[in-house]
Amino acid sequence: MGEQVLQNVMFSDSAAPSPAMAPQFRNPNPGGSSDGWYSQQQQQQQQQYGQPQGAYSAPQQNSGPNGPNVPSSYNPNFVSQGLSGSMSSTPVTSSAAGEDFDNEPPLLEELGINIEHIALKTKAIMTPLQAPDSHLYDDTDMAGPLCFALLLGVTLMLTGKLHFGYIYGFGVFGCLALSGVVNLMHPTGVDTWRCFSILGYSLVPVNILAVIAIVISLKGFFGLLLGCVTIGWSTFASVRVFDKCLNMRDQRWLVAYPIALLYSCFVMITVF
Amino acid sequence: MDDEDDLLLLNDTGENSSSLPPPVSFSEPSPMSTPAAAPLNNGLKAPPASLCWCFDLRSYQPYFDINTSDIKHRVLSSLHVWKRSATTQDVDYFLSDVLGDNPDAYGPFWITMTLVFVVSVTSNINQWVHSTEDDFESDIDSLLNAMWIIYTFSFGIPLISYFALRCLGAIQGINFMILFSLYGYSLTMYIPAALLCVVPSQAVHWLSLLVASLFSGALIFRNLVGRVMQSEETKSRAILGWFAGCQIIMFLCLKLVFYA
Repeated sequence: MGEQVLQNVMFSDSAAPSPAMAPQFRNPNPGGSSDGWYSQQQQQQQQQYGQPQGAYSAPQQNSGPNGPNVPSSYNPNFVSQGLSGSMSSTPVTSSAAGEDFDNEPPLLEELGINIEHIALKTKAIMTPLQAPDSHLYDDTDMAGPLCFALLLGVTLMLTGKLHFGYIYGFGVFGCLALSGVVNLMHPTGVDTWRCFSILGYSLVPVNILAVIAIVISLKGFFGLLLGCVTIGWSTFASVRVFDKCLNMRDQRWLVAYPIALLYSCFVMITVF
Repeated sequence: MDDEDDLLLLNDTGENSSSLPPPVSFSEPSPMSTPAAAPLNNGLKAPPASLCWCFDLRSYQPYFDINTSDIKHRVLSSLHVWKRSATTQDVDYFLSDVLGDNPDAYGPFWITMTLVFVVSVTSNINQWVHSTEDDFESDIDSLLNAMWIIYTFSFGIPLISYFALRCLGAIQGINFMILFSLYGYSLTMYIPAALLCVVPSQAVHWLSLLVASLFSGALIFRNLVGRVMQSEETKSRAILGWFAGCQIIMFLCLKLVFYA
């Protein structure tokens, strides 16, 4: 039920998948599929893509006619199986699906990338003074954060710095550590991918700073000031989301400190 | 009445509480208990018993169950070393009134991290002020040194003290988390002292670090002296001497390594 509500939120204009398909999606047939062509095609696809990263592997295992992809947090088995590369528990689609090429959903929908939703979430980060909708960040969408991280690397490249490695290292390690801290403090525990997603979206102000850094040199008092404003903005935005969506009201300053440290790392690689 | 008797018995055997959540399931505390069967101090649900409890985040959750206002209260109280307990008028205000039965790990961990960075940064600024060359290279080793020294003080010393106290049998009412919390919060005063050490004057350095060490030592002493003195004279003197020695070594290390 939960994922159907989520699908309605994510793709309000697309048809909801039939209930008969949903259990199939949740409980894939173990031990191989019975219809040859579609699962074989997916297998080849999987091997072509090699080792996908984290949640991004989930879309490739999506069965088209089942409707939009449920994000990996709702079915972590898919992520682990995707990472191991085995396709033994690909969801079995009806035999008509593989042959019905014209009725496949659009590519973005199949990948689980909802541009409108990403834009909504980004807008919520850009206007942190307005309270975000508490269910806005329920889906652990990694497309937006990965896009912003790559964009940061590209804008830094335009200023002559190749810092993709630093962004990756700080990003992964910092987000892991931070999700550890949040999990320790939260009464019930928070999904790690959700933390990654929230922290990734809050990287948008750092992107803006990097764009400014292309035209103005940030080494100086003005750059320092802009850097501090960016750290404050990013921290405030992500703490707002943690506060509203994850019910960490009493602990927001305790969570804000590590988040500020993480974003100051990013701002430092942008400025220096 | 019965509850008080039970508590007294538990205190005397010295097996009151374990250092960290022990890997056994909890039943009611019995006076003849085996070492690891007492419940957690804070009454939160114990994690499921398993051999790999130290790798499970849930075993550490009781020590991070804390709000902003609690942390603020604890940090400020660690600076008020002269206060006495409201109920017993005893000198262990911090342990009995503030920490109570809930030692936490969030405060000590972040205070230690903050101190490491502040000491490293101010040490570099200090070197820059005293340097004569045009191009000054900041010394990243100071970060590593700060990390070693300060983490040894805040994590290693409580660990060694806990084992020493356990071996000596002088463990009444002290467990590892209490020691770790105490040592962590006692580092609070060092942060403004390290910030003051930016001023390029030896007198200011010595004075600020001395004052910080006195505050830190006072916090540790006042809160542990009551419990340590319950054992024999020679043992308690040795233990208090060990605590004092650690404070003096920490003070000298900080001054001589970072602000020479």
